[in-house]
Amino acid sequence: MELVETKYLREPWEIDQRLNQLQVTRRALLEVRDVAMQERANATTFHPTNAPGTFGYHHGTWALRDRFVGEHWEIDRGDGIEAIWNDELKTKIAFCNVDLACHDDHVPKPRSEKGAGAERASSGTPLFGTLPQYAPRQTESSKLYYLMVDPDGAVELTRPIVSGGTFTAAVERIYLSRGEDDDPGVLREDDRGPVDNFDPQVVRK
Amino acid sequence: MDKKFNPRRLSLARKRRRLTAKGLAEQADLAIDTISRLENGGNEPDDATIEKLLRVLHFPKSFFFDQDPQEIDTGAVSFRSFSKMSAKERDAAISAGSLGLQLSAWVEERFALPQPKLLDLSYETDPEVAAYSIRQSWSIGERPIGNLMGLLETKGLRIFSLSEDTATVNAFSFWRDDKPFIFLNNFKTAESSIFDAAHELGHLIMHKHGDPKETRSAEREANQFASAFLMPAKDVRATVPRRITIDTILTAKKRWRISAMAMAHRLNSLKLLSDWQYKSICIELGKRGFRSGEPGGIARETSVVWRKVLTQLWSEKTTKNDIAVELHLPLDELEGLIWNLAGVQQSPRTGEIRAVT
Repeated sequence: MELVETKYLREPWEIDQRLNQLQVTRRALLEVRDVAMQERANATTFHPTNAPGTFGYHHGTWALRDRFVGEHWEIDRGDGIEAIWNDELKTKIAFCNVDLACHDDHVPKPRSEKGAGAERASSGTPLFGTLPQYAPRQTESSKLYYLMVDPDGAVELTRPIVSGGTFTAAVERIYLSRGEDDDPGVLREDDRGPVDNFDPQVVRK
Repeated sequence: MDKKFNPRRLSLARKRRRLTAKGLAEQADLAIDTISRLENGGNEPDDATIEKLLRVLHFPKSFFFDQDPQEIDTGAVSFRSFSKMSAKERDAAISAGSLGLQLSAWVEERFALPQPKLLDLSYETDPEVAAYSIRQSWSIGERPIGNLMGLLETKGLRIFSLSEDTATVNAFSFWRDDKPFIFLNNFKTAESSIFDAAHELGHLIMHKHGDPKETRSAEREANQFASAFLMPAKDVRATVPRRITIDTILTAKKRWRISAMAMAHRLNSLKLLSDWQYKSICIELGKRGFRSGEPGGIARETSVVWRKVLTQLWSEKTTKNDIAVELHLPLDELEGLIWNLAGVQQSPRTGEIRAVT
């Protein structure tokens, strides 16, 4: 099996160009991430432990379809993968919670095990699955991408190799946001504090 | 007492006690015609009748023998939540306004207070622009307001409290003798009172000459004004992270000192929060108790003017009781008007109304 080096796209200009080819936009993909992250945050201590992930997955998948189903994309549930499908590009995109996104030396790991359908749709078992920077050259006519969102909001659109229920390598990784620059819990406050200490003058006549 | 019984003061006291003429007649064991004639000035009450009225109304006798109260034209008053308000509640609130004017006149005879520095923006149709203009004229730019009541008092607004323990009366405002008056219901959360005050400021500067009777558009404008005034667009855009979750709302609301719901609404109106996200956040905030209250809210703002006035009077050994006697008001009515404003902590409980005779 011929191996190809994982292709990383990190710069805005190359990302936008590539996303344009894939008939998606960075803005809409980030909106999907936002929806998923927002839903994650709605989980409280009283919810089941896996609530953040399931909330994120359900609503992330919903948002993916909500933003894209239309001219180029349609809803797809083939191979047990809840996704969107572009028939022209023969491309599928699904939502996935991962442990860590946008780190070159780490292949994102899905938070839940991927099924055989995902394995078939991705490419099959690689020979050197433990080497993240290489992946088998894919010859299949259809491609499966995941919008991978980690708990800190980092997000990448990645075409992974699925093997043994997890992602073992990637053919292409498009970094959409590292999440750290837009932490929702931190306001971009500087020293522009509030105006207060007003002292209305009251004078005895 | 040589002065004549003042029929308008009977109406005023009755409305403050939220009684209809019929209700007063029944409780005072008088004929309804008697009440009507007394209020129309057709009859002078005898001592027995006056005693019956005092027993029900709990106003000092001298109150009814004073000059005409300063009446407030209901048509010139901007009410918040007017639509949900019953006539009885509205009359009670307006009557409180009338008593507030009396108290205000008393204070201004003795103290020089800040002169009003409000713009007349009645020509302005865009609440965002109006809010920006008034902020510029007050030199506060885009900065968050750490003490709205202090700011408004510095700019010459006369602020009173409405101790109406009802959810339907939030606030109202009006101009009288070129002075802007705001009455705030201090039974609301501190954040709600701040928004109400900004809402009334919107009415005072945008609807000064028009008929401010509650219309949907006037209310919407005042709300938009309050939102823009308290949370200036540029500051919000520059401060709030691009990705917004409920935690963002709960952090951001502290900066602008508004309710979580108002924060979410502002972010939605600035298109920083999509309609879908806004709806979802509102549902979640509701679940966490932010629809009916403000968990972990800020401390209530208090009035600097009232604190200074009362401190000065106390130093002269003039107590609230003395003021009430001079104004011929029951103490509970006087306290109600400066309720919580001067840091008064406790409310007189219903049924413990004390008359000062």
